Amino acid sequence: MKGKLNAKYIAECGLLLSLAVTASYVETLIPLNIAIPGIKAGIANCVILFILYRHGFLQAVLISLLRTVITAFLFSGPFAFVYSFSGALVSILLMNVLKKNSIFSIYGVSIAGGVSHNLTQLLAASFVLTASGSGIRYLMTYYLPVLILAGMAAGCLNALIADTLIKRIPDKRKQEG
Amino acid sequence: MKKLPVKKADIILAAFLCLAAFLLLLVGGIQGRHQDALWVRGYLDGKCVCEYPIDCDIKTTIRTPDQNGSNVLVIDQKKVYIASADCPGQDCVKMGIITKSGEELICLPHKLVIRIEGGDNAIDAISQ
Repeated sequence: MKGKLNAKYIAECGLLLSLAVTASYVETLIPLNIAIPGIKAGIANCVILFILYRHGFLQAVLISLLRTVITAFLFSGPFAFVYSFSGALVSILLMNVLKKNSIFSIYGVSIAGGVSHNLTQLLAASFVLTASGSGIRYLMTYYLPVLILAGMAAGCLNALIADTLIKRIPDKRKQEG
Repeated sequence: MKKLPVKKADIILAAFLCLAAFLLLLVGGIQGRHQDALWVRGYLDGKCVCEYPIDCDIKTTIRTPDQNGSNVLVIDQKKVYIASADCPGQDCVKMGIITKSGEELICLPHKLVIRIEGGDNAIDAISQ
């Protein structure tokens, strides 16, 4: 069943991908980054989280990475693409590991995903923007705490949404057998 | 409303992250008193195209796509200058060395401005 490229699978991917991109778009409308630059709620991540739990790892990775490509073309540009791509990649890998581990609930997985997303973005940003290590040190001490806390808050929010969605939306595939 | 399915490990993770953030804030607060980081930013036609901390030693070429020009920016022991450029006037090279926050090197033909900026709003340019 998994990984089979039948029409249903492709249609499903397209639908979920458009949902994730829409979530990213909605996010650009919310001016959270007035208070602290670079802070986003990461609403798209609750879509990814939902996909990870309901449809599995492969589809989650696929949609997560494709989403960053599309949003880069639509809203953010090449610089932001490097950050969001690396962030998305690391967070989805980590979330998958934690999910399989099963000592964490969806909340822990989401928090870890949110924070790791932020940290990877920060690392990528400091590699792109500075030639030496001093810039990284600067970012680490001043910006990192903010990003950790923001990642946790966003992670909780996304877990709440995704958890509710998983409970309320019936799993059609299970019903079919 | 049903109880949230939070597990013990979730809370431990959250607590650990809170602690890490708090410690980092503390470290940042201590360092911040005697370290006011300066940044060197390059603006092409008003848009920020590059950014370096002033205490890095680099030599980099900034290209201006529309005029087909290039300026070689050097940061060497907190001294910032244009080493060479292919603009007609060479004014940016003649401007010499800048070291303090707010100082600028300007190359008019290439619409390039190199400015040293204080560490206060260094994050703004990164999140763009």
